[in-house]
Amino acid sequence: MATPGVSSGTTPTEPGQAPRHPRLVWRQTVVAAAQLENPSARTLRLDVPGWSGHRAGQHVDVRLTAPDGYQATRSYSLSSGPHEPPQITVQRTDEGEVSPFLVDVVEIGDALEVLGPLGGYFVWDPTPEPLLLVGGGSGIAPLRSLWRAAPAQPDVAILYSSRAREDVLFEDELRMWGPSVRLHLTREAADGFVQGRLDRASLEEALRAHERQPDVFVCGPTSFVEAMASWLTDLVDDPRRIRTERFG
Amino acid sequence: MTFVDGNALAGALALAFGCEMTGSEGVCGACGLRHGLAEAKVYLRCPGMVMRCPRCRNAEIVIVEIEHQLHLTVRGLASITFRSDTPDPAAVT
Repeated sequence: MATPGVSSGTTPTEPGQAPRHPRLVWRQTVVAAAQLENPSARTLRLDVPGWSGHRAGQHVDVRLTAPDGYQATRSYSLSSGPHEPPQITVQRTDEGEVSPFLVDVVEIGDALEVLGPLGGYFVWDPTPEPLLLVGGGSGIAPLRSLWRAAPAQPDVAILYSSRAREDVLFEDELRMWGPSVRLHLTREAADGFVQGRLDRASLEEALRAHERQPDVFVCGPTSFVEAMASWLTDLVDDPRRIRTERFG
Repeated sequence: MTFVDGNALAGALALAFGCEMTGSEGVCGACGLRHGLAEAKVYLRCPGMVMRCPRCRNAEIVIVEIEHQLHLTVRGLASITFRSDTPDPAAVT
């Protein structure tokens, strides 16, 4: 019996024709490029054999195997646009087991195992509908894949909250979206930034700027997403058009 | 222990079920809530991964990987609804 969405692996194909849907398998990949975004975050561009693009919002699982066989797997959002070479932007967490290695140790040419692209809920395929992106901390990473997916999208608003100036990711690109971007800092003040947390009033203001309800994507630490989603659910007509991803 | 959401299980569930699952819905076997799997409360490295009902916290799915075998206990879900047109996780629209 055919299972939807799965290649059986034995599906007959014409000679020389690649299978229509590659099976989801762990793939050995190589770090093709590495760029420090700020003192605690690094973007790794991956050379993934057989990669055929992804949907904005998707992520990959990355698995590391130590010499003694111990394995650790973590999920990282793709911060690249759907048709760009795949890249992940990794935020070092203090008690992390994998992120300090990916940010501080891994080098160009090193091998990683990758599973993906993954995700069928927190995804966006470009539509003419207005878009509101709400990011906390490294939650801005998957949201970048959305604005890279539709650079000419006419009606995009972006709300982004970081602790301090040095934690901000992709500032230059964000500024290019002009007045529809509000960058907040919660622990310090700086020119060009709103001082203080994103709150219900910030969301209300952003929603009012659209002629009709936008599709909303919220990503960041769990406590951030819970607060934003709770307010947004109250403020919009159709809560099903709010998509959330919690980083923990 | 802080939680994440069902998005974090996308890889394990896709390997287990053979298709993208985070767009699917489940019905909690304890309280009857119908919810997207992406909206479940997920606890990682418990050890293992535990997916809980977002309303009543009932353990719906438990996933443990032992020596390259994925063990799933789907003890707390009354049903799962798949879209029959769920795209392959690796497909690009």
